[in-house]
Amino acid sequence: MNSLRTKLLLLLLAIISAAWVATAVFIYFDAHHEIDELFDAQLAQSAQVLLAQAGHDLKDAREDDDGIAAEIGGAGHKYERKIAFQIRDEHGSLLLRSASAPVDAMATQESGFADAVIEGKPWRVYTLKDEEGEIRVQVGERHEVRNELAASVAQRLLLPLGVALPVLAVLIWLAVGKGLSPLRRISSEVAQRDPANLAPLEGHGVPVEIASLLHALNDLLERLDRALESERRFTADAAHELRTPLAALKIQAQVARRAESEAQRLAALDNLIVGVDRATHLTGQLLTLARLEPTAGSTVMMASCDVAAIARQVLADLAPAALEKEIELELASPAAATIKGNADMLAILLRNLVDNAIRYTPRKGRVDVSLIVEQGRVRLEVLDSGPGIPEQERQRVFDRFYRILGSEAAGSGLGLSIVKHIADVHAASLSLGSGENGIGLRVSVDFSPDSA
Amino acid sequence: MRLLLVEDDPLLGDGVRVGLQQSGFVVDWVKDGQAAKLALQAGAYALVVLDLGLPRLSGTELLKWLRGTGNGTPVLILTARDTVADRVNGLDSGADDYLIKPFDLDELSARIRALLRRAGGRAAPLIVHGQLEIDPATRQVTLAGKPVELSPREYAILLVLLENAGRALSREQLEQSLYGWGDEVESNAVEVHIHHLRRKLGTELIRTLRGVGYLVDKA
Repeated sequence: MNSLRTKLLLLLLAIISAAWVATAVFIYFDAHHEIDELFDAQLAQSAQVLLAQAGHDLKDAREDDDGIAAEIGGAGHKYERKIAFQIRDEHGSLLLRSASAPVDAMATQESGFADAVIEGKPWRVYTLKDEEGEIRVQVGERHEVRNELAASVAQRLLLPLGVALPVLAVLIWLAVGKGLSPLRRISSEVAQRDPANLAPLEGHGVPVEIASLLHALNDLLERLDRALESERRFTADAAHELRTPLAALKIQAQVARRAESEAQRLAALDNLIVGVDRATHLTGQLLTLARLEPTAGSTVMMASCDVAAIARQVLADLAPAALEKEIELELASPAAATIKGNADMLAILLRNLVDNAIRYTPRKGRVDVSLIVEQGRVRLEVLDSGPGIPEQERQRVFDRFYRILGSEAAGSGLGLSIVKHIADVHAASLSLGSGENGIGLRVSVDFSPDSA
Repeated sequence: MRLLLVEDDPLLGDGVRVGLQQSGFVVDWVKDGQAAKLALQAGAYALVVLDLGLPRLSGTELLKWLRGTGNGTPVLILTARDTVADRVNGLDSGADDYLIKPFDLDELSARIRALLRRAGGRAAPLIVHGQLEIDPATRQVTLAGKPVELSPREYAILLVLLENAGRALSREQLEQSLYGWGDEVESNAVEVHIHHLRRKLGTELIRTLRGVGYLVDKA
């Protein structure tokens, strides 16, 4: 299970344990060092005491001694077994030794401290001679004593850890829990939210670390809200826009029923068919726009597209419509014009522009489509010989459902909205102008070299 | 009766115009608010059918202008806007009735007749004048219980005279109510029609005031 609390707990416990153990180790060595000094001092002192006390006696006793050392029995302190001493004369013969000392010299050194191995065990030996050089005292103890003491100190430090760790664990668990409570509060707040409620979340008294998450969340909520709002508006607009075409259908049908003459009936029925075609076209445009709207941004599939090929296809499709109105439809383009884009969308864009041009151009007019490739930039232009768009309306025509006054042509008012949308997705710039000799409309789409 | 239709959609406008003509009205059709203004300034209409969603001058603005000039011509609104707020706004701006698209042609005709009835000061649908009875819905005319056949133009003139009973209407005024913009007016058509009416309905009904026009006395 991936839990912040558990992670923190384990991490903190690990750090504490590691620190504790490191301290214990450090103290072991530090204490050991101090103990060494202390014991060395004691050793030296013992030697001096021995020399002072026994040396003198032994000198006197030597007159009637045959050289064999007397033993001194061990007793008392628990450490004593490991402390040993030897007293020798200037010839090296053993005069006196402790019970725990060996017979041979403990260390070869003439004076001072030395580390020696006696019977396989490490010893610390101190050698001291009297002023005349007649007596040599050697005092030694096993390192083991010192190690034990240092270890004992370190152990005393580690022992509490065993007890403290579970207690610490519980305390840390609670503390972390408390620290993470703002997260819990926010997640419960979000969980209780009504899906329709996209208002921002409360941000007061929120810790810095969570603040950025909260901010990002509120940002997302706002974007969602706007997207939903845009969709609602779109649906409302669409339904609204369909009313008039539907009204026309109903009325024409009723006129056909009440017709006073066959001619009138036929005219009404013809109008009815035109009306259905118009409503169909509008519905198609609405669907296209609806499919495009959510893609304002990221997830559009982009690939290398040949705009020239797309243009040829679109013109081929629309040629019959142009022919019916006796409009001259021409394409001027290089063999290929490649940009990075979405082929389907580009086809829709071209289709809408050329379709518009054909619709609004009167009979026997012209529609010219041209592709210009210049320094890696592709420019698409659609010119027609229709009424054009007056300058003051050029900004508004991209609004949905906006139609120019007096335009008899059965358009939906959505074509340019769709074109603008696709241009935006491709990061292409769109501009309107006048056609040849100031007549008609010129629509220019400039695709940047690395569109999107 | 001459109506002004203000509708920008070509198919709907055509349908409504033909449909209302089928119902016996004469219809002038304009496609934007400015043109409507000019038409209203130029001629007298019995009623205006007005679409609110117009280019150039919105329907509501046109309505406010119309009422502002003191013009009381009945106005029936056609619109796609269906919220209560829109309805209230439309009626408060001076409309007399309201139809939401899509609507029924028969209902439109009936509502127009109702508005004309009220404008003519009548409450009952039937127009009764002495022995004369007219049902505007069916355009049936009966005199003393016996049905009378009238041509569309004769009917129209009779109706206008009866709606304006007690007032003399000049030849020009009668022509105005009979003919739309596209129609050819024969020079003495009105006299001919009056003549026919007198023949069919009796000579006392329609009086001639020399130099003024024709009138029908109040019942």
